[in-house]
Amino acid sequence: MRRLLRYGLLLLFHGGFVRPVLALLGVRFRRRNLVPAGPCLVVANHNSHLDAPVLMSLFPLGRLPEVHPVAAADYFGRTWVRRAAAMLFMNAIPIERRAPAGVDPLEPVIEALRRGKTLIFFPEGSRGEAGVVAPFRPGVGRLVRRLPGLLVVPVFISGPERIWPRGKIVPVPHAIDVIVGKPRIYDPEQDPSVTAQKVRDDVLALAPPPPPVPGPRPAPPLRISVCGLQTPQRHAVYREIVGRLSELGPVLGVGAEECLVGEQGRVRELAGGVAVARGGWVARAFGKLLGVRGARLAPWVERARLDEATEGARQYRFVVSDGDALVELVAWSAAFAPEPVNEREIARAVQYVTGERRLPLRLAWRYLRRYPALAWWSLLDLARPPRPRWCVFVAAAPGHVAAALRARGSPLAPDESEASLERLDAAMRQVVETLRRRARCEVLEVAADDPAGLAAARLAELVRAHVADAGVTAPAP
Amino acid sequence: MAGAHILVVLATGLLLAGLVSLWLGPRGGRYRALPGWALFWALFGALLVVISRAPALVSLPMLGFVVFATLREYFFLAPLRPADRWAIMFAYFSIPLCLYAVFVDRYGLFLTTVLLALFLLMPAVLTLATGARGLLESMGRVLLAVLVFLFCAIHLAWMHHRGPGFPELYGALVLAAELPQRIAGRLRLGRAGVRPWAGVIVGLVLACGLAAWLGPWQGVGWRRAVAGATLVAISVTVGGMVTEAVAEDLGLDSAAARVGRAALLDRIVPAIYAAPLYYHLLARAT
Repeated sequence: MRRLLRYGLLLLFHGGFVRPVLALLGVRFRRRNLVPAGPCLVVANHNSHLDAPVLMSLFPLGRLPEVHPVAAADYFGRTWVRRAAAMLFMNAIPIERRAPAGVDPLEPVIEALRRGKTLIFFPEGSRGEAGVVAPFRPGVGRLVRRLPGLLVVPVFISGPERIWPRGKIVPVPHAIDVIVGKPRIYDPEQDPSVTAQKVRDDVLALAPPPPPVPGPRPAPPLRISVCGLQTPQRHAVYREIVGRLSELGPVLGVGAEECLVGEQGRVRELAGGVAVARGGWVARAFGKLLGVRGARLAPWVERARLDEATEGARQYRFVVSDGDALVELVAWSAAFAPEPVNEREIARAVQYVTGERRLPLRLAWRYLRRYPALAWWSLLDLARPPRPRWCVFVAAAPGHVAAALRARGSPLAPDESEASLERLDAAMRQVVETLRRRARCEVLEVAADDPAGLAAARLAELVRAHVADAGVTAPAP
Repeated sequence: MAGAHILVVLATGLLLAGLVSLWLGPRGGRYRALPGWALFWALFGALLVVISRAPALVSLPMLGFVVFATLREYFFLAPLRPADRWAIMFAYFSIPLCLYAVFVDRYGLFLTTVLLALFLLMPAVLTLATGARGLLESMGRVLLAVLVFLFCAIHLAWMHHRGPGFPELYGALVLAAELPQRIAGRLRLGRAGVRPWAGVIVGLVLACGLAAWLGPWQGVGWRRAVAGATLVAISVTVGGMVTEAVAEDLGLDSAAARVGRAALLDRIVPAIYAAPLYYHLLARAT
């Protein structure tokens, strides 16, 4: 009964007060869909008392009894008003920041996580100076060490520090942005302070870039796509290229599963990735309902929108992508078309996919029958991926790729057979060749058994020469 | 119903804007923001109808909320120094003060509020609260917000007292001036092009034609209506240029304006920029 009353009070407070007030303030959640449905540790920067209610609003109301912010017992336990606010209205778990010797202050947190609860944790330990993210204390690292496999969700909050910063009594209305990063599992073997530093880096990676300095804007980044059948070699070439090009200038690497940032020869993984495409469900639904073979449309849309988004990433000099939605979509359509496709048709398909031209309605039916994915792409204007400036084609033997897929153990999809892969490989070559001849895209072919570093070095030389010829200036730091 | 024909014209204009945006929006490029803009105009048109026809106790709080939301978005995009929070609070508090002046129908009180309370007291608040470093930039940002989002927007509320039809006529004129500019691409400072100029001229002609036709229904002579509509169309163009310039200065590229928080500012500034001129030249002249 007591628990029921407590949950009722919690839901009433959040549903009837916190969420309407946040709506009035204009809170905007970005990539809210990345918050896992199961237990996790949400970690964020902390500048205001509003941070915890804002983070609790990430979760549906029904899940709130399972969500607990971690509160400092020495602060929130000081008066009964604070205690009631923290325990009744915020469902907080109190911990002692300065526990007596031999007592682990994180024990209640570990216990709650073991019970499958979701916790909101502020590793800075206290509200810091507005707009400054203080060093993270090693507590988060110790949690990772004690609970291997703990899912940590980095979140960056901007806005509450202006509404209600430390030391101010009156809150001033201001909009709030909450940016959710990709959930991660950290290495439990690592030193807790190193883990804490990594978590801090991941939270900071989500922070929006500062406004550019006044003056001429740098040119859009040079786009380099690593194409070919999806193999570990292709991924290795992509990583090597990111590393090599990072010596020439800032690089953003957009991989199938991770994003890399390279600068001054050093490469690190970007926790938040790039804005994940919305509307992939439309493509997924169409892919399934309208007979687009392989249901690959949704991942292509997401990749293409990532490519589209990175076109504005002018703080980078190069954008390297592992795979290219444009090449793959056109090649896939050509490979499985009922009749052979010539270069002119491929060039036109490239224009339809990049959005340079729209598919004329008179051709719609024909395209829908022959290349359904491509036709829906253009008719629904699903994305407009830019053309690459350089294509590195990693030529892998389809037989080897099929063998590797068979070794995976799971049954092969219809388009993963050796014959299908051969057709896909041939079509990719055709598309890349068309881009070279008709779209001024420079192509570098690399054999799959070539060392990845060698290919990257060759490309870096070509890019260096191009940059020197074109007089491309580096973006402002 | 008084002013019903103007309501029909506004509704037709909104429908046309919606259809054009549905037709051109998927083409992308400069048309990409059109659907969002048409949606904004559907809501803004509804607000104008509420201002025109609903009791002041309903329409004024609604307008007050819109002004609050706009100021909130602006202060997020153009953040002041952390210590300037009292100036922001002051700007928010001035919304009910101005609306009260509208409610009691005392234009003098409104002017006093804006001129004395905001333009004279705001710099004092900024100076006393913080200090000299960065003062001018903060002052510029706050005063621009007050001038555009408060002074201009509250003039929409003043139209409530001029009777039904005037707010809708304002909506129809601004929509007529802005739609061709949105289709042709907005005129930018230092980047004159034939197409944007064509948009401005077509918008001007459309607005003048509408004013000459609709003005006499509201008791405004056609010459005066055309003169007023000319200034309204020019104000819409200037409002758009101001938005572009502010967005560029704040480093908000067009992508941000399309999908981010800047979208509201991008749409509302040209829509409300002409309100004071319209109010004095057309609505108050009758």
